[in-house]
Amino acid sequence: MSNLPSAAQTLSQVLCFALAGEAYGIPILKVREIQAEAIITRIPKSPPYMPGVINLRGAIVPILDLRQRFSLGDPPEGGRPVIIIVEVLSRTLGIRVDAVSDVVDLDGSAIKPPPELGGQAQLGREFIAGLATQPSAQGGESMLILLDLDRLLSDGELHSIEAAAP
Amino acid sequence: MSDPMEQFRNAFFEEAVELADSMEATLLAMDLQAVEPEDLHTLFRAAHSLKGNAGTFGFPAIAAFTHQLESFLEPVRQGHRALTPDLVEHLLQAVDLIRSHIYAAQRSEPLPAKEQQAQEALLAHLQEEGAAAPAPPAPAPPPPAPTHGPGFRIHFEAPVDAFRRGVNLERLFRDLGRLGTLQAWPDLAHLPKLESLEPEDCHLAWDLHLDSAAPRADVEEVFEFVAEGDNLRIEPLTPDSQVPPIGEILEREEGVPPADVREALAQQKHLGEILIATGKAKPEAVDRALGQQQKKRNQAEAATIRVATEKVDRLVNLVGELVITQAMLAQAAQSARGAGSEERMAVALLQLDRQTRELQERVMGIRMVPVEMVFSRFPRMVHELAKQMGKELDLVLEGQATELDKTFIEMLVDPMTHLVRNAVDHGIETREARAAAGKPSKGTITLRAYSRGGHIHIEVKDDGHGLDPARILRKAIERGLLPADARPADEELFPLIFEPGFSTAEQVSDVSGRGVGMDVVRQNIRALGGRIDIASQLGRGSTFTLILPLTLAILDGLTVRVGPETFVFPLASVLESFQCRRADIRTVKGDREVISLRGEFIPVMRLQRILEGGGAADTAEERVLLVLVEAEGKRAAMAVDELLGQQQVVIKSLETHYRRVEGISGATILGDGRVALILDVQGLLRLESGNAQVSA
Repeated sequence: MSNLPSAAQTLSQVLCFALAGEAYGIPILKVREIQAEAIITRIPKSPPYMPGVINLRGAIVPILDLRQRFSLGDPPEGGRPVIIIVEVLSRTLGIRVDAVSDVVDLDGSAIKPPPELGGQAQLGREFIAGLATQPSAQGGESMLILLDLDRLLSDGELHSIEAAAP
Repeated sequence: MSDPMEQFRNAFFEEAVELADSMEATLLAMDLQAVEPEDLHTLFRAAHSLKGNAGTFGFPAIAAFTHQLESFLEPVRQGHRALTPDLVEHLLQAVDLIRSHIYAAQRSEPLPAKEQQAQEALLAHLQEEGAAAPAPPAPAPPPPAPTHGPGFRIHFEAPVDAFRRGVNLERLFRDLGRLGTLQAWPDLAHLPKLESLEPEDCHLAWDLHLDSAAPRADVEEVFEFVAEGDNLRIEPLTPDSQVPPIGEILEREEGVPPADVREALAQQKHLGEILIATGKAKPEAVDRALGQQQKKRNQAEAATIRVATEKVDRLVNLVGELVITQAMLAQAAQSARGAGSEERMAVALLQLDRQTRELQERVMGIRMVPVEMVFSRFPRMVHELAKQMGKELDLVLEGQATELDKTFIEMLVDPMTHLVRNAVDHGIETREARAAAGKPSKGTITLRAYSRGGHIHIEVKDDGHGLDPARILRKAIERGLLPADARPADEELFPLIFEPGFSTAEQVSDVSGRGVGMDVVRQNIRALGGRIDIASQLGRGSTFTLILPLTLAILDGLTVRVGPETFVFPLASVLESFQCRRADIRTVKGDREVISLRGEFIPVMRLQRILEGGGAADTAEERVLLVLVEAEGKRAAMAVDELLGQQQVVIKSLETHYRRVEGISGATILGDGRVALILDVQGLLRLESGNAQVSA
């Protein structure tokens, strides 16, 4: 399922969050809840972007650190990262981001396919479903990067989950 | 499973199996020299209930068979016919046939031809024996059905010549009315059209409900002069203790004529039939779908637990208390500034603490079933085995009420069956050998269950000749399991019989002694997180003790700190923990660390290094804390930074939302809400030897 709607008229709700100064969005329907930073227990041999697991009311839920995933460097001192709990492919997972801003309604026509990016930026391109512009509070326009969660989570480390499943 | 009839049928099957089990248990427990009348009644009642239920739920084959069984049991119950060992044997076969019947009925199949023949042969046998038995003082009554149930449903078609013969039909109803409360519906289905009606013919029929405690014979007597061929059908009404079919309720309570109910039932078609008839589906497709449904149904069956109402009631009460406590807390929080609110809060919290703990215990208790469910299958098995091998023995069962996790029940059957078979086959000697050894000719096998220190112990004990250490040693040396000059103690020697392919039985018998099995027994028990202890004395007998955790969902753990993380060792694999000086740990080949413990060199492992694969920072501490663990016969000392304590932890799966991690068997949640990983010692040791090979 792609976040790039074929019908231009589709209106979708998107949860916006901040990551290293950029604004990202994920479809609100995938979001279960938002948590303040919890204590993460490290899982041996997991890559840096999978720092470990947390206790979500008795369930053991892995955390994906988006900063690490996109190689955006360490979060600034004194920041209060937030964990967005999402449910994808019938698994629950926490995504650690810098901060959550708000929920916006997006018109399908406002979503543009991601441009070709060269070099280092190309790395994360496969996870981007599209770019959207929206009027910002200052009167101008701001850009929102829409993430393809299914792609993001079925990639790499999490991909081995599927492989390991009987 | 939404079909209500389906649920009733399932309840019937469950109960039928229980009845068959109770018949079997009674038969095996009976002392033929002094038969308890109550046992005979139990047998009879079981056969009778089976018959009644089978009739009600529409299993005529089961009803017919149990009916005949019941009639054979009747003279026995009356004391007119003696219970011989032969008869017991035949009745046991009958129990098996009942089970085959139930099995076939569950799959909506007819009884297989083989069983059908067995049934006929058995009935013929019983008939013969009955005829040969000492003549009873009074002729045994014809197959009676002394129903003391709520009454009968009767369908009666008056004979066509009833009017001509001058039968007084009215009197018939009056007589019936005298037996109890009578409800009657005329059935005019056979009434011909007016133009073809012969005025002297009788075309009337009735459906009757008779609420009465009178025996069936009395009812039959009323119809004595009008019953001919199949114009009279008398069936017992569903007893109060059981759920009646919806048709019966409609008839009794709502006055719906039984003829209409019958017609409606006849119109009911299976979905598959309708689809095939209308050409919407191919017969093969429907067959396939039915097969799938049966598969799913079997799975669903396995996943249900029957819980005593009492347990559920306690839970309901407890939840009620919790609600009150919650209200107390809410109130205390609201008036937080009022005087004494702090105290009230403390009281409520204390109460909450007690209640949550109890709730947890009780909910876990739902999964607990009596060990009897495993034990109950052994009397029959031992009986058969003993007969087969010409040995005389008693089976003693103790502690059957001990409860253990439902999951264990299925997984315990195989290993226990194996141990019991071994005990009968190899443990107990032949009658001659026992006499020669000055033992009673009858051997005894004891199955005993008890709980001790958070574990369930299950013993399989025999008073046979015990394990022969010399022979095991010889065999072990032969197989290269021990060096030729080894002189191990019995405790080290006995576990060798669990090694694959290890059998000391002189003769391979039909029953056991092929050397497969004992290793499987140990594997199964390990898979349950338990272990097996062996105690044996040559000439006196052996005791195999299965030691199991109370439940699979909870684990006795040793929590330790390694670096910033907390880990849990399963206590079952921890031998001891000790402190040593840094200098006591020596290195072999530069980087492999070992420590000498009571003259044995044991590898020292650093958790961080095994799990992460890298070289963890070595602690500069002068003293090192080590936890000695064992798995698959290998030992290792794990270096930890701190022992935090011993506690029960609830096992949570990592795989639900993440994946399997090598060396980690699961996770748990600590008191402060943090997640701690549970170590898989076996996996860790394997990982370490893997690492060693890489670095070698």
